[in-house]
Amino acid sequence: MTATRALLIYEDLLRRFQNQMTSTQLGVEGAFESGFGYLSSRLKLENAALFWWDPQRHCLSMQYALHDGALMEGEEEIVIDDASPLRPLVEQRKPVVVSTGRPWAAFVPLHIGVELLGAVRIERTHPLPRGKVLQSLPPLNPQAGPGGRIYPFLEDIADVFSIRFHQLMRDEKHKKRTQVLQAGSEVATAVFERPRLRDMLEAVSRSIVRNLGFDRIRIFLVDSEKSKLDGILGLQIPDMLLDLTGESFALKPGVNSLVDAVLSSKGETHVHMVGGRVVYVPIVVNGQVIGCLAADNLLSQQLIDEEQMEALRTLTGQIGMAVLNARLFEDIEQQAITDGLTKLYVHRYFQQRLKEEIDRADRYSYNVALIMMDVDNFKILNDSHGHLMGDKALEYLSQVIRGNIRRIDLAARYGGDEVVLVLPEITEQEAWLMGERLLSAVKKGILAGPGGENVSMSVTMGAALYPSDAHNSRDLIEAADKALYWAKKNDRGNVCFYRTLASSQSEKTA
Amino acid sequence: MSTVRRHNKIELNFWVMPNAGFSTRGILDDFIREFELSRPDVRIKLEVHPWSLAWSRVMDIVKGRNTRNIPDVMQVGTTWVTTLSYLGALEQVPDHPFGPREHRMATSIGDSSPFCIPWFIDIRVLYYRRDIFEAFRIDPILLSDWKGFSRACAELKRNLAKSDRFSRIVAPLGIPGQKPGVLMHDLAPWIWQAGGDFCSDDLRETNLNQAPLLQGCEFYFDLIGEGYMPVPNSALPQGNFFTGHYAMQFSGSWPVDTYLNPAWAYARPDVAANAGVMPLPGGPQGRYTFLGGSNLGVSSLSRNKEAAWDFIQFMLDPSRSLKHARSIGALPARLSGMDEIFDRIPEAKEVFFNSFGYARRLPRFIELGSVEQIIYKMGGRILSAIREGTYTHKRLHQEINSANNEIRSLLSIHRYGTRIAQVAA
Repeated sequence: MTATRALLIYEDLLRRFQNQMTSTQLGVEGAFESGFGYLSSRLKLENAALFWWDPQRHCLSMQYALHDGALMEGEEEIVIDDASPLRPLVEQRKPVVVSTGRPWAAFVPLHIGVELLGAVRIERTHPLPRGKVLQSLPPLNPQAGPGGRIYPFLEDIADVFSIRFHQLMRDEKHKKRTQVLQAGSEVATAVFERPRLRDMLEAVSRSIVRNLGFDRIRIFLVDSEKSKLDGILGLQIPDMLLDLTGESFALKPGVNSLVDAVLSSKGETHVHMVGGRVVYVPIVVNGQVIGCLAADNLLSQQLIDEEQMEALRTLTGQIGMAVLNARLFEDIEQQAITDGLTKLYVHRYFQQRLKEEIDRADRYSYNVALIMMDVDNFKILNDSHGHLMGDKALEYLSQVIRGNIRRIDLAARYGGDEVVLVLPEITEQEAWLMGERLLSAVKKGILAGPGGENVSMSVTMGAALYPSDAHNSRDLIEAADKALYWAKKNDRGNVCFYRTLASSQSEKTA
Repeated sequence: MSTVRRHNKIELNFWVMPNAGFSTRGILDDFIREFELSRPDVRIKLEVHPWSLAWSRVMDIVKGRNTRNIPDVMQVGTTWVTTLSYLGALEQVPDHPFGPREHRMATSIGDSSPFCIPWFIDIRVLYYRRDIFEAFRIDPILLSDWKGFSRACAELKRNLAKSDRFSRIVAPLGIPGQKPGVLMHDLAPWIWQAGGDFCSDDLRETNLNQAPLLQGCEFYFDLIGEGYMPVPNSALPQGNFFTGHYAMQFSGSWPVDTYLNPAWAYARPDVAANAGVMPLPGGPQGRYTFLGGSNLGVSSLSRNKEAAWDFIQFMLDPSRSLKHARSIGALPARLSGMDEIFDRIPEAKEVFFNSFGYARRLPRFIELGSVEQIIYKMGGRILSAIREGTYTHKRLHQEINSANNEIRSLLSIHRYGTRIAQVAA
């Protein structure tokens, strides 16, 4: 074999060794497994072991051993003292052949520049079969290069593996930095594009879990009036949204580690680590703690690193400002859609929501009931007891309504003393029961007049059902209005359904 | 992409852990070749991942951080099942061809999860040296309960100290397992036998501060504290009961076909000829032992689930399952065919078969991994106290209390799986 051919074969071996290491996505261990797995099969190297260098204890500690294509945890430790044959490896980062017999064993250093990171030990127990091409390659032959590169092959694989190791570390660092930047960019977008609190926090949580690699993120906000920490929402792998409503903790020392982290932050964003796999980052705005972000890796057991903590710390600054903005937006929005006196929704918002409910009813094939009511003899009430009494009556009515309707229902002030209820996913019977319950509750209330006299009140209701009584929101309002008009004329203090009105009219016509 | 078609072949990624150390690949290669011959359209790519890396690599896939190398068929350790099922990482086992879950549970031992099928199991029993017991006139019947077991340990310690005949023996009791510490499953049988557990029956409350748990831990750590069992640490020699270094050891089934088989190359004749097998000593509230093992499951991200289940069905064929279990020193999860393993040692067969009746798995809560770590660290502190000569029951209780606080602090507000609700479509 010519020297050129031998060199070509050797270069091919190194190139394939390098390719094997780059073909895996499984980190340093994966690169070691594939690269040295390849060398083992080509060069009959039975064993390879990966060691990390511990500069404090001045020892090489085995992480993984590779044999027969299987990677396993190793537990060997090699202390490097003055008498150790491995001193050149540690001090000069040079490969060392520790045994030239059987087994033949050598250590190759793993280093970045002058910094030693570890070493790989390779062993060959059996001699290579005679006549094999690879054995005769000069760089593989330990006798071949006296003076200069004694073991060129070992130096080369040390270099190739170290370079790959360096690349992996650089890639990992780069990947992490990109992910942190990506998270920052996504959080910033969410802050600008999603003015509502829950929407914004959902997008933020999703971005943090996806980019920073946590198992779960949860966001709690401080209710300073009630001195408690309220759970808002969270997100966990794989993209599962968590509703933390009702998860509340009193802001007192010793309640739990989350509360303690909030209390001890004293207006500064300190990252609190619990057991290496849970972190709390208080959300601080203008020196005031407004909440806390809890991230954990309790399922994956992966340790949370410094970069992840730093990224969280940076992001909570943005989140804090976004929370304040979202709250302000929601306050203004709430004011814009809420009637100041009754705290019920205003007419415009009612119209918008009714249309939405009707669309939803079409999509999911359910009923929507509309109940329209007004206070009986409201003008007389105002005239005889003053307008403040009228206001009081409306306040009382809204209070009764809020206490009796379901979470999915909507109550709005339609105008003057008229109030409307939108009741989705309901039957006529259930709507009727709801109306009766409200009528009865209103009647039970006795209001105190300006002179201390007792003032009773009642309401009359007209109701209509979508889709049986109307084809759209406008028709539904009209139907409920007609039913109310009829009830006020004929059956005051009760609830009248448009269907009964329509059927009695058609009977008359017939 | 988990499954690729190369040269018109379906390629299935098969992830396992080193169940038979470095021989794992060699053992499985035979099965794979046989499968590939029967299914020329499928190629199996075997990957052996060390336990410590395997979990982290699976979690990287769940988190979407590794999208290129995804297993189709994977070995699932018993302590992994709950978490992986919860995360939706495993495909549900189809009724065809495996039969309904009730049927699977009735014909196998091990996991009853709907997301995987038991592959092999291991169960702990007590091995002892008949010749040593006879020489020191100790009746093995003492090993039936805690009190007798402690007495036997004391007798062995006293006699071994002055015996030249058994100079190779370093202590009455060998360390179970190879970790330089005390694991949750080392403690579990003693806690169960005292009537306790690591958490409530509904798995919602984890409480270590309970009398039976303290009693179980006292019993186990006293064995070390009294010098019956050495303090586990990484500097210990590799020896164990089967290499002739101890008079007793709690262990699984792996030595039955190896160290207890005189024909095996590395078997010590004195151990193989004199090894007796007993169930774990019974405690004040009954007899329990630890059941471990592994399952096979299909990743929910697999692109070729049908072929993956076909491969699992092939691997779980009773004769293959038995052959595989024997090769790695475990027991097959299927009841049929298990007799063969114990043909040579009927005494062991009876003990193992009886043990199935009172074998338990670790409690299956989602954060088991976190609790395991805290308990392992707690064990480390107690072992340090033993090493330093400061071990007392009071100290033990303090350490358990401290671990309990740590668990509660971690889990009280971090419980997984109890508050999940979709808040938006």
